[in-house]
Amino acid sequence: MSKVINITFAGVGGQGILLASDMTANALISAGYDVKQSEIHGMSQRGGSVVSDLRFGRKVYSPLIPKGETNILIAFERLEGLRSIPLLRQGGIAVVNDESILPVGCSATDYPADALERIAAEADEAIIVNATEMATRAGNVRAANMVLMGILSCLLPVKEDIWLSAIRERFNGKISEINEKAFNLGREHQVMAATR
Amino acid sequence: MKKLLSGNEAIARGAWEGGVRVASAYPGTPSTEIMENIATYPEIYSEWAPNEKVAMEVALGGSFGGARALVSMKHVGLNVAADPLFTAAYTGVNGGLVIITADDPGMHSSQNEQDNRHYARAAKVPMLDPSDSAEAREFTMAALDISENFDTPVLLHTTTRISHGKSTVEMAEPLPLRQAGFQPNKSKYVMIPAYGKRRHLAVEKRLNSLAEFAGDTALNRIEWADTSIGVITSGIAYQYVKEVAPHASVLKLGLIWPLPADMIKEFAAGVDRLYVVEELDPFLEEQIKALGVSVIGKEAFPVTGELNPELIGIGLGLGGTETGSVKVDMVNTIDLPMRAPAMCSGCPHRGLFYTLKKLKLVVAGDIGCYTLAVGKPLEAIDTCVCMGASIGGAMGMEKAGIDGVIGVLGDSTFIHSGITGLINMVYNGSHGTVVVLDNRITAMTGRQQNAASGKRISGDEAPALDIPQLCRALGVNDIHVVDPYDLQAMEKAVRAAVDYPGVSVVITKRPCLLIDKKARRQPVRLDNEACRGCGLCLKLGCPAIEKVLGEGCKIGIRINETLCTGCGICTQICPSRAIAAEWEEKRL
Repeated sequence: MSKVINITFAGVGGQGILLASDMTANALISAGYDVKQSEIHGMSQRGGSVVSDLRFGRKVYSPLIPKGETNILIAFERLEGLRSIPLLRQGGIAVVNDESILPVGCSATDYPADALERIAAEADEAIIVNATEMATRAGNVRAANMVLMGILSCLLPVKEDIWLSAIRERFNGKISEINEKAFNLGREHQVMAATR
Repeated sequence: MKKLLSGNEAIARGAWEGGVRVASAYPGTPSTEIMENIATYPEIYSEWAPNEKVAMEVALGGSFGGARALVSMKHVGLNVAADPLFTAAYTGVNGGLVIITADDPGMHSSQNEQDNRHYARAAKVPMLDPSDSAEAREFTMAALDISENFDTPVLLHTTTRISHGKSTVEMAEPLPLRQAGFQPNKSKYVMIPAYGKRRHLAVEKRLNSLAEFAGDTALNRIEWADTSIGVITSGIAYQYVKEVAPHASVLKLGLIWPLPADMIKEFAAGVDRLYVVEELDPFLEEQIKALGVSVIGKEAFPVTGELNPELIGIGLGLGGTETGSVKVDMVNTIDLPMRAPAMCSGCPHRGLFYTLKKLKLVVAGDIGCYTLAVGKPLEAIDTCVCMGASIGGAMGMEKAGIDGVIGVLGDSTFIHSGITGLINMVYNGSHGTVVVLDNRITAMTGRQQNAASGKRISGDEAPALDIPQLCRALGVNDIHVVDPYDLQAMEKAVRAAVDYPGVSVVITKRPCLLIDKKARRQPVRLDNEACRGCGLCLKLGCPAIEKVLGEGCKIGIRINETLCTGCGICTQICPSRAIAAEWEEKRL
């Protein structure tokens, strides 16, 4: 069986998850891979959990990642990260944004305060970042998805210029600059972490 | 050129390349993006119709006029459009006609899980079943050809995973256009009994020709491999089968009605153990068994919900995926708080449901964002069946002797299927009340224009349906138009309407905040000292009212200023007047 790499993007509606998944998919296509992506929208637009499956390789059949086969989990929020941990395969990497968004109607006491610790304990490798803070530094809090994509870019066999041109194609002017900066902050963070 | 497209985008692309010129739809998950994408091709006339029946009739008329035509809808939409479908099967077409039914196994965003493949057999028309985006494009074009070659409407079946899943698509330039033109042919297009009887014969003959075609077309193919295991499959299930059993022989069906009997028998004879893998009903299985072929089907695979690679692996006796190293269920995630969808902060619907609950009314609900009011903490909806059922349902309950029933539905749903129900209430002497939540848009499916929006799918200006005027014309004398942000006025209107000895309509009028961003106001402010901690504001289920730890008021309530739109509903219900709106202070 030819090797297929599985990436799960998980977070809360409105965090730019599907955009990051889309841009990653397009970067992988530019790099010559077969790509399939599956996501559910509809009810998830109203503050629900959002999960996007992305698979790439020489030939991909199922757009759904078999449970427990995710190589890289990109979690945009702590609780959604913890919820998605069982999707990871052995040796899988969890990249988690250190942000918490309280579900509507959920009391703070019900929100797992130890989400990060549990993720770190369960995942074979956990990369915890404050993407929201880094995005704010880049110029817009909403660019946290690009920070996470920057980290992801270091884990994938796609050259840097493909990512950068994907960002420049997707956004215009000032917005493009901010997103590129956010992406680079994520990339630098990962490069530094890898050399430590 | 190669591009990553969703199935819905690929269908739109196929329609454009295939020369479709007339396209109509009513929005419905997971089909909505088909028409949204078709609308980006200026060469195609596209529209949002008031409902799927009208959309089907417009597309059929386009076909009669010689244009290639397309109509798209979600699975339950085809129930509404079934009337024209069954007779369109008799009239046949002039320009190619493709009808897209997007099913929702797993009910990600639907009220039932019906399997619309049965419509192909019942209406005696061919059905294609793509298994990825490339096929979604290709099969849309093939459907147009089959339609013209066999003089029949053609159904194209997708599911949520096909419509919303993305994969690479090789695209091409559009085909040369077909010449439009209507050739009167009364015995073909006027379905009176005398002509209909003759057409029925033609339909049966056509099915035989199509069954022969099914055996020849490249839409159906056998992928011979290890012959100890053979699988007959189609659609998304094909991809899952290839994922978990790459060694198996596969009969992949692209044309799933009528079926290629000889090809199925040949395949069955060539394998030791034969399975049929299909989502939901045993549609293929029953037909295959009727051929006298023995096959393992629903005894190995579930009849409810979506399939996935694991379920298929288990059903085929392979025990999950072949890659192994699974780490499933090491963490207990069952106790984690769920993130259920909720009405947006500032949603104009929220205050109404708070009021209906307070008045202890029985609420016959309907299909739209407002169905979310069934969840905690509002829990203000008692029934939800199908588009428009709130009105008929409220009327029926009233006639059964139930007091205090009120029907609630949105503007788009009212236009889709509510108007006739309201006519019935007036005609048959109801004393009931209907609330139309008029937010000027079809919100749940992602904000599509409708006849009351004042805009078309193109964004062009259009006459906006005057709902109060329409109700008056239907014979409703007690009509209240209120701003749903004004709780007092709304409660007064609902009370008056319920007390009125005749049919009443309350129209809560305010655009969806997502289409009118300028209507957002300064966030409200909570005075932590003034708050008595009653927690009533939490009963609104507003995402901007959070319960946190160690901050906020004495019971830890905090206003999330990023989410708050300043609608002011909470300021009106707070008994200690601890929540204040800036815009309110200015007004005073």
